[in-house]
Amino acid sequence: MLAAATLSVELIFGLMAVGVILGVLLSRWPRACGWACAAVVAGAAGAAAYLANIVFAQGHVEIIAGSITGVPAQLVLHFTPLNVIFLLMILGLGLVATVYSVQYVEKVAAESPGSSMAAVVRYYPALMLFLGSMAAVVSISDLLFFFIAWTLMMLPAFLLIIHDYRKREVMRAGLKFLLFSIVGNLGILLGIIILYRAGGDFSFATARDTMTAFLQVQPWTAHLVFGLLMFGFLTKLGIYPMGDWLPDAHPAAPSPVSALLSGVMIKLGAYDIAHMALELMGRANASSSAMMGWGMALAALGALSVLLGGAAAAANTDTKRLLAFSSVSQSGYILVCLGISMAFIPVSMQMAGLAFVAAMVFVIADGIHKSLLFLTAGSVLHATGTRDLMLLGGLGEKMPATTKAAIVGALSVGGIPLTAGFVGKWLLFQSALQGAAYQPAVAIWLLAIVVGSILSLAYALKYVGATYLGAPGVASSREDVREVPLSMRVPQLVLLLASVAAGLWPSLIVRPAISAWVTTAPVPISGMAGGALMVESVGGTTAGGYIPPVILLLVGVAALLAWGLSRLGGAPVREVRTWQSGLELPLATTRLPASGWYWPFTPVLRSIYREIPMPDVPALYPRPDGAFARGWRRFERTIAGLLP
Amino acid sequence: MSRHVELDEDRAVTAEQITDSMRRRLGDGLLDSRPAGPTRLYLTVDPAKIVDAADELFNGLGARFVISAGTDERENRGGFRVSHFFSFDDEDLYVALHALVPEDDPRIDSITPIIPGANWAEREIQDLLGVTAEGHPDPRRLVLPDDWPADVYPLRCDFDTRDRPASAEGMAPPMKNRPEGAVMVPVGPYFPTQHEPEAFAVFVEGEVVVDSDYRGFYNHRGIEKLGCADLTYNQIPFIAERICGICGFVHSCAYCMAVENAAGIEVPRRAQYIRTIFLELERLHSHLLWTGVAAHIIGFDTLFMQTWRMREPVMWLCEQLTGNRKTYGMNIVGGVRRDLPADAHEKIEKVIADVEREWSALTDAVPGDRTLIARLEDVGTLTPDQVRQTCCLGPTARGSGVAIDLRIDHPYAAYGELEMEKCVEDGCDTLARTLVRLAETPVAIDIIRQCLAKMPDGEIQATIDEEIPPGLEGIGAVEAPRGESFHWVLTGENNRPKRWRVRAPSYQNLQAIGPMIHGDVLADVPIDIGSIDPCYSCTDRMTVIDRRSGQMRVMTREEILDRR
Amino acid sequence: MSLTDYTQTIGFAFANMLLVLLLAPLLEGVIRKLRAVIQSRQGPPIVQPYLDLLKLLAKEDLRVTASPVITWGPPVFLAAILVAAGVMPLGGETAAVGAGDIVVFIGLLALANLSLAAMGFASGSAFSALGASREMMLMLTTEPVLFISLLALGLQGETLTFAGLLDAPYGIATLIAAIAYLLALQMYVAKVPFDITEAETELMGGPLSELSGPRLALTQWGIFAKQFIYSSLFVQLFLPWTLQYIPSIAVAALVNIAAVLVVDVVVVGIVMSVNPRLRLDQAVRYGMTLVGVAAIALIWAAIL
Repeated sequence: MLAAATLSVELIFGLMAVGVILGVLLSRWPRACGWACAAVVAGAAGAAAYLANIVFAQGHVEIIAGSITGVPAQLVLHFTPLNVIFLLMILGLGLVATVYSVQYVEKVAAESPGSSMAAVVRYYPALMLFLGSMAAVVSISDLLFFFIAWTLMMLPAFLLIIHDYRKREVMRAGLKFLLFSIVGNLGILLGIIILYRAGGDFSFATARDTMTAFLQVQPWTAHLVFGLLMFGFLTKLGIYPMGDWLPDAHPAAPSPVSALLSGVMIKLGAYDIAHMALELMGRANASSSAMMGWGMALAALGALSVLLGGAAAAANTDTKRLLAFSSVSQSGYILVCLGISMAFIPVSMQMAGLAFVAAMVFVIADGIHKSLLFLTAGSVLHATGTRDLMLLGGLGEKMPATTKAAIVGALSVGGIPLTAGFVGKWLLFQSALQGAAYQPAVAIWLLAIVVGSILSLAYALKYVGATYLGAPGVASSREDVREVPLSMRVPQLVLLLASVAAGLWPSLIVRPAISAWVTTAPVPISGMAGGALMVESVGGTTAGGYIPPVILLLVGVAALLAWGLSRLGGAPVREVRTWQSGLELPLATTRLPASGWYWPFTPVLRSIYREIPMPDVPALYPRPDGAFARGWRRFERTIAGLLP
Repeated sequence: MSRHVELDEDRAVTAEQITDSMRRRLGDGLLDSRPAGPTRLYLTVDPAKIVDAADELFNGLGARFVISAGTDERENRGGFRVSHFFSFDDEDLYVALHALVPEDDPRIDSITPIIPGANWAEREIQDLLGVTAEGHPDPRRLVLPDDWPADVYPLRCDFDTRDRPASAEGMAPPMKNRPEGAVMVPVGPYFPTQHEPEAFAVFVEGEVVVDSDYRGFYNHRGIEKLGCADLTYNQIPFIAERICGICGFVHSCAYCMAVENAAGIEVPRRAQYIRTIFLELERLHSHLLWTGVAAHIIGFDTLFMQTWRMREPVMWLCEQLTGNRKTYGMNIVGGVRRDLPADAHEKIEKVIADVEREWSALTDAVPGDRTLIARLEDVGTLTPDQVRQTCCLGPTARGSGVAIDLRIDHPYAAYGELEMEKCVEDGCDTLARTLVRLAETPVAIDIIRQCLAKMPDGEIQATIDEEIPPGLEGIGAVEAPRGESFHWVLTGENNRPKRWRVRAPSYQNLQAIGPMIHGDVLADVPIDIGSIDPCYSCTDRMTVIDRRSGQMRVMTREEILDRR
Repeated sequence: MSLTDYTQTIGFAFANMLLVLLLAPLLEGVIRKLRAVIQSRQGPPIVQPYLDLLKLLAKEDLRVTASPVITWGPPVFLAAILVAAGVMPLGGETAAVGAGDIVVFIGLLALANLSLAAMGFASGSAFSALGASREMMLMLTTEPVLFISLLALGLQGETLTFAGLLDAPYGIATLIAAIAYLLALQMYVAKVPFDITEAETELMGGPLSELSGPRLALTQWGIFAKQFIYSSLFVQLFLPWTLQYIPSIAVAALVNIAAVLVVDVVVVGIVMSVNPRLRLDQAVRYGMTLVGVAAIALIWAAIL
């Protein structure tokens, strides 16, 4: 079995390397290049699925891939259900995004002011490297190599974000991402160095022993290390304030990349927080007050992000920026869950497990629906050329498939019953309620979550309403606006189906999450109720219940009955004009612009999220004759010269 | 809250002083000055000096602008007469400023730049008579229908009342452009709180009003046209009474007073008292009606139902006194047609006592109703300066501390013999306008009581033996429930007026809606509009004209059904 | 849960849904009658809402757009509210055990609000869009009050199931939550002074302005049902003594319905008759205060 696992790991990383090379070689033919890369990612995803099968059966798999002489570090790949879930998400969503890229990037390249080849060569190789380095980040357990992979991941991400580097705001967003990432990474590096200096090598087991020792003799060092690590991972997760790069970077990147940044990359922050909180701190016998303190602090930060992100999203009028703020909010949910989980490890394993499962469900659900939403925003951008909600509207008739995908994604992100997003919220409320009984502070996070979930409904509706419903705006009423091609619709459909399936049959995501908990938890617990989502309170009584198939049946039958009722009278149907109090004006005149939604809250919501000021260094922006631009052009020429 | 122009006692102006200062300002431009009694002054000026003359009166002497009128006098004088009317409220003096514009060059300088309240008045002359107001800031079509052809002016004498011009395309006046980021909310022409057809285009950002536009006169009836040489002096009161569905008596009264003023007819005192009683009964039921409507606008239907229940006995009373709930048909030039019935005193006493009792219970409750106050306070703000600039009237002005009340300023009918005080509030908001109306209701009851107590015996009609000679002019103005109703009559041949000009108070008050709603939120707009108690039927002086075809017609039931 | 349990749950849920569907217009009829009496009017017969709905079901269906949101909005709106009625208790007993707890209940009501708002935005009229925007903003204050007061109860019994909520111990937190709930009841049922979403004299019906015929009938029916649910939940959770000592579930259900009528007539009917409509910002401020009150209940329950 180990051989099979090793083979699949070699396949995954080998194929991603092949992908990088193919991406460069085929860059003259954008479409072929895209399909080739998609095939490579498909292979890697297949290998990952095979590996996942083994890992879920065995609990965990460890592969020692080698070491470097003279350096006290070994390249150890350690697979547990926890990181395999992430590996599957990276490659699964990576596949979807790559397929979506094929025709999306083709158009971007054709419209690119430079040569189309240069646009392609900056895209696919970086994308492959991005996916490969993310896969490495979750796979590697040794801290040194982990940090190398983690830093490596930053570079292709930066390249992808600044794909449209001629735009000033894109470059600014890219540099902001780079700056924040470097600062965050410095924190992680510092933490790792402290552990290394005390323990003598970079292995995770040594780190854990070091932490145990620290906690006993010099607890403040332990907390400093944990704090530094958390700082780095929270930066990646997009938690306010250290994650403020997110709302700028996501809209700047090409849409499939936005989907990956939001659906996958920021989730790696969540992976590492879970990993460190449970396996480093949790198993190092931290005192219950320390765990409670860290957990509550994380939950507080999470609750803040839930509110700030939700408010900013509800007030925004740019499709992708709105979705980016929604990611801030959803990251907040994940962190609240992780915080509660961490806090309650010493108190009640069952409660901690519930919160952990909620966090994992949020990770998977948001990975799916946020990617889906970014792809729909990409389709709208592809079809209309704008992200401005003031110019959009009424796309429902021209882009029916995208509209349906957006509606499903929005329902899920809004946490409406029968969707994957609701499963996460449901589990969160169950754990938070039980947590509040032990720790009243949780009640305050509960308040924030309640308000945050209404805000998520508001921005989800705003995204769908202002883009796809109502009267057409300036951009969406143009003649040439039409539905995106099949290769972009299919990825949307796949994510739509995944979202619906996970919502209607939560076991699909809850079971892997449970097994991740069971194998990761500091003290393993036996299984939790899965399929019908029943939760028992600590005392043993039923604390909550949700049977999606039954609710689906009830809603379905009721809606059909209601529809039947409406046909009962045989009422004739007639098309009429929208009523304008008796006037006959262009529909755009009486269209409520997105900036006017949600009065009187909009001004308040808009001012809640305060951007972290970043030094604006104009020298770094590419001027037409600047060093950066010259460098790029030389690079592009060299690449073009090297290729057939 | 002081008036824009303070008229101190020592600055009180007389007709002679006005003539002097006009002569100083205009020199040879002042062609004629003709006082008619102590309360009327008719000036004729050179059309080239019209702006100077208006500026002297409005800004120099502090007069209030009342209205403009255009008259086709090409047959007898070879041109169009453009008249602007002003009022010195503290001196009980109306001043008319006439100018004759030549037929071949029908243009006159616009006074709207210096008197914003003249905006509609000048556009109306432009639409109906074809005298262009040069330099008007907003010369869009105002009164004529959207399909009325260009260069057809219905108020000219060569336009027959039976003429039906063909429908024209592209004549509809454009609405203002939508500001970036705003949505246009069409409040009308068909809207639940607008009980008559008129369109406010309200531009809102979020829900905050950033701009607005108005398109009205959908039901312009051409009543003034009928009054110009078609109907006789004594036919007009009955059509005048139909100008408005609520305050019709005001119009017949003001018209009769204008003719009486022109011809110097003395109305018997008893008739004056009867007119006063009906004017106040009308105010009583109008304010009750308004209170109900305003309550309904802000969703307070219980108050709506209760005030209308209280109002109903007043309507029954009027029916018993005159034979009609509303359109009394009492006024005639020189007096009233019918005396009060023998038991009128008891009936009136009883009804007003009931209303007074119920009304005081209601008004006692209003200041304590915090939700009600919250909806009315600090919305629809109209400063005293805006009142003066847009020339607002009645409770709309008095709610902003501008104490114009014709019953005291220009006493008419029996008001000179009665005791009363002006009801003024200085809140400048919708609440203040509401409180003015709430306070005026018991005052109306009190005036009715005084009339009943002082009612003299005697004739109810003056004897008029001879025809009224042509070329005389007269002004009649009555404090209607909504403000000053102003009628100007120029006498003509064959015992018919040459020109009859009507200006209802809502005509001026509606022009203040723009500044009033600016900065408010959309939810306040209906009650802001409601707070001036707009009467569109008065304003439009509207026979139903199909807006599309310009045809006057009555649709049969089948036709209406076919149109679905 | 065995198959029998599932069948029973589903069966009871349907029974609840049917009951609410049939009784909700009656509640509206009684309120209208009461309002008429306060306004010195004779008023329509109590069955008038039924007649209105029947008439609307046969009337012409005018559509401004072929959007599926308009096609499916009204059925989903009604269905979500009915299913919320299906999972909540009636007569002091939770019939549909396990199908959904209060999180599901709140989620279903959110779905209803969302579909109403989506219909408003889909119709392309300024009035309905503004109404929809108002609906969402009111929801931002009403849902937290509802949810937090339910959570406060749940925290006392450490449960989120309705069965657990009914058995939850009473404390000060229950009382505070009851006050918040009662003060917010008028906002939940969106009657004057909180009929801000529809605001006939401002927005001509808001999100309903472009609905007609059967579609309007379904939406109206849903609004009636919502009124029933909110009043009934108050009776269930905060006036439990009215139901607890009645042995027969059928009798308890009848008492429940009678109590709902009383609550609605006494609170909703009178409040709506003696107040003007508030402006959105005023209503939101009021709602925020209630969120604060409910939060006190929750924190109280958490601390004690």
